[in-house]
Amino acid sequence: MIKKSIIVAVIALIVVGFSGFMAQEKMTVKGSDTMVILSQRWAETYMNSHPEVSIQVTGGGSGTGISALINGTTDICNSSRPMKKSEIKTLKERFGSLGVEIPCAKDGITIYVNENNSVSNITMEQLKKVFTGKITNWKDLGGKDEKIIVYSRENNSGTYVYFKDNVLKGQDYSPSCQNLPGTAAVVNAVSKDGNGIGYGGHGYSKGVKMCKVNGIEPNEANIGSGKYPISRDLYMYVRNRPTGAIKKFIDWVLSPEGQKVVTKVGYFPL
Amino acid sequence: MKYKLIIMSLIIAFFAMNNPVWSQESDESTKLEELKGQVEGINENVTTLLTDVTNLKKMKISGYMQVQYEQTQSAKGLFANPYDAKDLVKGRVRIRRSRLKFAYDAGLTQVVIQGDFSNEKFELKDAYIKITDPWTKYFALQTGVFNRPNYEVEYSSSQRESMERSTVIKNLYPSERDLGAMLIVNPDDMFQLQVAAFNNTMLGDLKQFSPNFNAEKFYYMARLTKQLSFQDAGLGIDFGVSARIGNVVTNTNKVYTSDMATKPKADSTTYAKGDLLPRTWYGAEAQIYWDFLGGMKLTAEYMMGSNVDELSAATPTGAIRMRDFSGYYVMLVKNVTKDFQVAVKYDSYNPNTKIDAAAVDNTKDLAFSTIGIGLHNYTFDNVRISLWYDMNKTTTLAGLLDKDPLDNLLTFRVQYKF
Repeated sequence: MIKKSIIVAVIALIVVGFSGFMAQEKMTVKGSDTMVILSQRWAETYMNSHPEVSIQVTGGGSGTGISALINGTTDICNSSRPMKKSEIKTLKERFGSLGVEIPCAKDGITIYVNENNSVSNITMEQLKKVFTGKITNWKDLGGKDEKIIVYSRENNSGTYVYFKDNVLKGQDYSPSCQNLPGTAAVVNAVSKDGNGIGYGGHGYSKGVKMCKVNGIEPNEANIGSGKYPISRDLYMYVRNRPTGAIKKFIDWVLSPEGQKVVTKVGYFPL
Repeated sequence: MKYKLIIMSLIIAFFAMNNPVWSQESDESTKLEELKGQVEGINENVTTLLTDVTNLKKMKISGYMQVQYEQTQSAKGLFANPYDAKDLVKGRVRIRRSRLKFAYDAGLTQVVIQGDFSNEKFELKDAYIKITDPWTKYFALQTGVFNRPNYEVEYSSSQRESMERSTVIKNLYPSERDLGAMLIVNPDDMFQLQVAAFNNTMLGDLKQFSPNFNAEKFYYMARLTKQLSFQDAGLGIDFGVSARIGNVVTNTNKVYTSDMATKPKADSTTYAKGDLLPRTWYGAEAQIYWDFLGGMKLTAEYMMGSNVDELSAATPTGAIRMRDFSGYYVMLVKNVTKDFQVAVKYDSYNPNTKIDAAAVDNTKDLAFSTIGIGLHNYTFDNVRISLWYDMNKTTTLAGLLDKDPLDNLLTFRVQYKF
């Protein structure tokens, strides 16, 4: 009876799992909203020269992408922050692997203000005070006597986490922060709000003014050299050391051709 | 002159009101103001909603359910009988676990409540508060009912590759949890130290009926772990040591002790009612993760010490058993493609290490081992389908246990986790 049960159960498992083998043909990339445009451009350009490959790119935030990597629902995760220890722990418990981190571009978290705003430089200390709610009026930053409207990202965003860790030094965001679901939404809000301030990837900064931070402009030279104080790497994560189609795609992303796309989108090559 | 001015004003007003261009501009301006007001109103509502959503996101609901078919070699092979203690079937469908967990995570403070729902009852599993120090974030205090600090105890059943915990763990940590407080020290992930004190009323432990609980209010546990990562080699090594230190106050002077030279004996001269019997053990653990052909892990744990069996309230004049024991397990888990995982586990438990196997005179001192092999499938989101076979082996001894019991167990489990 036990032998029969084992045979039946093994057959059932193999039948159920067969669809899993078939599904491996598709390459999925999920994660950081900061990187979603960059990743889409990479995928489009790569698929043009490799028509046999199908790459599906979606955003959702770095946290969402990392969860998908751990759950096995994406092949590649885009993240604008390094994986947390707790996330690595969960990944290794499920897959017996520490995950592979691949820096693939550089970005400077850019401080956006409205184009009509007279403030064009802000210090790291002032930024911390603005986003934690200790400075609430533009006049304290050398601007007009108006209330500062602070726009932030949601907590599944890698940029949100990076900004909290590196600018707010771990302190909580002000409760009056308006948390928006993507960098594009932050840029859009600041472009329409004369008293708005927000942050996000350099590649999104259209229709808003980019503030200097500590007097340093967020340009290629300063971000590439790390002189700009809120410079960071953008990452791709895979569960195991990449092989096959995934390896070929990642190798291409890191090649001069792939890095050209980085510049075109508004980020900075490695 | 005055009349002329009034007439002129009226004429201008009349034309102004009837001039289509002026009127249109005025209408558009009014509509624009109205729309602006509406947008501002929506903005305010959205801001309020976003604040509410942010607060709601702090509340997390998760859980899992395990439904399984079990098939054994004989009716007595099914250890637990959740539905009918006189169940004599060799195979059955069973809800093994049905957990629902509520957690409110406000960053530095958390509260967790977890229950298990079965056909018969609701059982509270976790109920604790955790507070992290806001300055260094190196220290956290956890208090309530929670898992005791041990690798396999703390490793969730929804994640564990073997269907059940190892025999040694099941014997040392029945129900896994207990009521107490724990300090967690984790300075920048250099190491993690857990130090805990639990009530010695044995709420979540073995039931003890002590004549004097106040003599031994608590038992203590500690676990120190360290993680090493060698990213270039795709290798991670976690290791640690742990200890459980405590005593049981005996309610009888008849204490069966381990003895290497002779058979276990009831020593009624050495012990008296109210004496402290050590229930203390030490352990070592290691987990190795290697990114080899899709990833694999090897986990192992060894424990040894002195254990005291459950006292009986009904027969306080009966004997209590105090034994030196040892137990361990080793498990290898290998991923085969993204959706499949195979695992093999060996675990061993010797309840009395001070006596030769041939000198054992009661079934409770017989050594026990299990080889488990299994296959897991993760094709469907949130679902794990498992097939596991446990080959249980009990040491045989002529006159006491002539034949290894027919208790090998096949489990086919479907788990949904959310």
